[in-house]
Amino acid sequence: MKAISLDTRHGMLLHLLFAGTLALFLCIFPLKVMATDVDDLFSRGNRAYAEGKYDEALTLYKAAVEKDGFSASLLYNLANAYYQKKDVGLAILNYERALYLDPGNPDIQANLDLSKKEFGLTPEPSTLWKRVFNILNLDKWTWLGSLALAAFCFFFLIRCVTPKTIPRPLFRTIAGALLLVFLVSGTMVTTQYMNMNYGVITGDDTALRVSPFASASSSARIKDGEIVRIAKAYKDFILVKCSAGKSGWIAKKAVEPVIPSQDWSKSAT
Amino acid sequence: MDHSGIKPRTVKGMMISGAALLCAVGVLAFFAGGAQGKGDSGTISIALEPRQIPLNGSAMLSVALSGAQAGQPNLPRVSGLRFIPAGQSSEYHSVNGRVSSSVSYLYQVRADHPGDFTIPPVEAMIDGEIRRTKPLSLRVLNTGGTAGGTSRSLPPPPAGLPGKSAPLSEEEADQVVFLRVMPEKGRSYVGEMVPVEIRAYFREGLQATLNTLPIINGNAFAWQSLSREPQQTREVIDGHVFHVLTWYTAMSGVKEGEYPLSVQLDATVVVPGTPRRMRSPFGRSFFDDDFFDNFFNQGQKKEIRLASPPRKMRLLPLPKLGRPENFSGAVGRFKLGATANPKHTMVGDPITLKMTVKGSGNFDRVSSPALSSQEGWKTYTPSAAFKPSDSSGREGKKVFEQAIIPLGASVSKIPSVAFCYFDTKEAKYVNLRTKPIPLKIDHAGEKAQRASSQPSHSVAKASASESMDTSPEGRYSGGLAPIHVTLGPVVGSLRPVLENPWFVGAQGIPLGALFTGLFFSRRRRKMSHDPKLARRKQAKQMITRSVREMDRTIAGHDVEGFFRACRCASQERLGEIWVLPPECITLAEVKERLPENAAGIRQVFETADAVAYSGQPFTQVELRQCKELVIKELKNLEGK
Repeated sequence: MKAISLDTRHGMLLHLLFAGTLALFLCIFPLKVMATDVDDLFSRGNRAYAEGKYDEALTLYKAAVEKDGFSASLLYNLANAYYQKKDVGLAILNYERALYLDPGNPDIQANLDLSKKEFGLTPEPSTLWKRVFNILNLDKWTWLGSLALAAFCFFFLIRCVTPKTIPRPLFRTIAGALLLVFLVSGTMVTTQYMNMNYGVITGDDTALRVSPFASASSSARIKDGEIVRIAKAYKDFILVKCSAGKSGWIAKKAVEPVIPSQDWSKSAT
Repeated sequence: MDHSGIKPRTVKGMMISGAALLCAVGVLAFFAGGAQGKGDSGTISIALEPRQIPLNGSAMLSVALSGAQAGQPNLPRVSGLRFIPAGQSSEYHSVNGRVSSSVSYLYQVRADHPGDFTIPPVEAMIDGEIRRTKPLSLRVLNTGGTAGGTSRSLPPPPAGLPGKSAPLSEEEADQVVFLRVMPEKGRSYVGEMVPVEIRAYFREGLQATLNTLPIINGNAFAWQSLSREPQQTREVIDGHVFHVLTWYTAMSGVKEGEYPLSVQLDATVVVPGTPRRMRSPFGRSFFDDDFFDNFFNQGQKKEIRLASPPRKMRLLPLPKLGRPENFSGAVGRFKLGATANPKHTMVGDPITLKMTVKGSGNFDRVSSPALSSQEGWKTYTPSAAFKPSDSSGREGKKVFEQAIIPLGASVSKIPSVAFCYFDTKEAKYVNLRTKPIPLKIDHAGEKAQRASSQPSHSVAKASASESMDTSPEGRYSGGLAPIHVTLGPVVGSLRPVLENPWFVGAQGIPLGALFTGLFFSRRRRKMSHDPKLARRKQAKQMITRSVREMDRTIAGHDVEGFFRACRCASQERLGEIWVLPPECITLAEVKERLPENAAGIRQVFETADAVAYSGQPFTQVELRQCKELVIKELKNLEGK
């Protein structure tokens, strides 16, 4: 009787394992098929870029983005193509987006700095905090924090339901470590999330207006490629703050947010 | 007429004055008494500024006494040092009827020879006690320039200025205060920087306060800022001792011609007055103390405006003949140097070119030297920093830093940089030129190869990819890092996962687990604090277990085991009700406590005992009936 019960359990476990593997395979396989198309577009784009056909490369990269989505390398190559076309705004926008996905990548950072320098913009200095933040991107920090929280909660539940399962010192050590990871990740997520409302000017010599109307007088002009902080939106205008401290209203179409929120389309690739 | 020779009106006036004085003294005495009774004990403090002076300079020693009755400080004798009284100041404070006074005695300290001196403690009688200060040290340097205090931080005065004062003119001989302006020379080129010394002379013994810095008259000159702290010296001119304040500056002419040059200065001088009270014919009284003399006889303050006699300056024009195109207006004598860093670099990487122009002249017109050829280079606007080496700003060096970028690997050196100025001594234009700086420039492709050795997977693969490396142009141009050849992980949206509703919702699962855990934790804690509840729960568990045992024994037809389980279940329930350990519940206890009710329970106990001793047989049907009876009785007891 006991042996049969054990066999049944093992059988159930095997069934579950098989079902899980099948589900995973089914999930991954379509992506892999889709990725093959995107890979092709990406490779063709690279070839066109290497041959100096930047317009063609841009078309292929953009098609890859439309088809599948974003990757740090794809955005980086796209930005390089824009750089070669001297389209500073879109080049910097795509470098920034690539950095958002892969913050510690030295190539992206180097080319972003070079672009800014080349086009008369001030590169941001690299600080220790920035380097710490850039160990992971926002999503990865979020996942890390979430997993740490989940592990802590379930660990806590087990401890509360069956206290004798986990000895108190072990529980304290593991729970403390998980909480620490959660707190660090939470800090990183909060800081990065609070600072992601910035955009890049993608129009030439854009006017900064004193109020959100086309007829309003212009207080200053912002250069293409300059990074601005987006404060709020009103109809077709958004209130931005430049790095030099100036702020004013600017036409929505003249600035592209680096991380498109729900209100923003991802048309600026 | 009185025999004493004093007129009656004078006597009356003296009486009135005396009465007023007595009243004042009374008020003072009242407050002084208050201060004596309630005030703090007297203190003495000393300060010497600066602590280091040149041999011909002086330092100011200040001895401050505070207390109800403070005498004069006794200055010690120091060989080689002279203490010259320079006045005293008194302060009275009355706060909420509490009066305190302080007197500061000032002395000018001069030295006869250079060396390190120690001023021993200064003593003074305050409130009947002798108070002493700490000893002070003074260093006297055998130099003519300023060396101490605030002057030490100033650059040395410009060379070539007249060091010793000229004899007094007729006008100056009658004045106690006068001003002189002394340019280094009487003629100069337009734009040429000429050092100027402005000197204010005060006769010794005169107390004066400066209300303004010297103000320069005339609009034909551009002036450098004055040295903030004047140099203080003591000079003897035509047998008269003067305290001299000297400011250093420089000026340059802005237009050709002959123009007067003069300065003015506002000051307040104290003209000593006559004593207001008569000395007592009966010797030195309490009120003859110098403290009261100083208090009542402050002298008369007078605001004056000093103006220097105008001096003519001849401003010559710069020659137009032979003026180079790159002449920016620099006039003086300069030297040019240039360095570059790094000297081994690659195409597209910036190099910092540091150009230094040093010498003397109008540095405000010294503009950045320029590369003689900019072919193959991208240049940026240079930054400039000027560091003066004298107080007038005429001498020093101006450093220009310029970012330059080689545009090709064919560049092997930085071209010479050129700077043009007008030499005032030679009276001609001079074009300075540095030597070219050799460089080693790598091709940007080498940079890419170097970059590929970094842990960047994509770059490494880019190096491996032949089609990427052999691109004819563009790929590595301008120092751009190469494109990536692997796609890497792809995301459908750039929106952070934090904004996805399913992700936010999923966080409810661990939080639910957390709250469940908290619920269990709280329940356990509650039970540990309520033994009755714990007992009930334990009894319930035991009864459930016993009922299962009953079923098992019925199935196995284990009569003895069945009744043992029945008795165990009953013991648990009764033990819970009577708050007794279950094993203490016996048939006798049951009979005593349950005389009428729960006949089934009693029967269970009796039968269990009987079965245990006699082995009475029961069928399975009987056992089931017995079980039903026990369960019924247990339920009946549960309510109690």
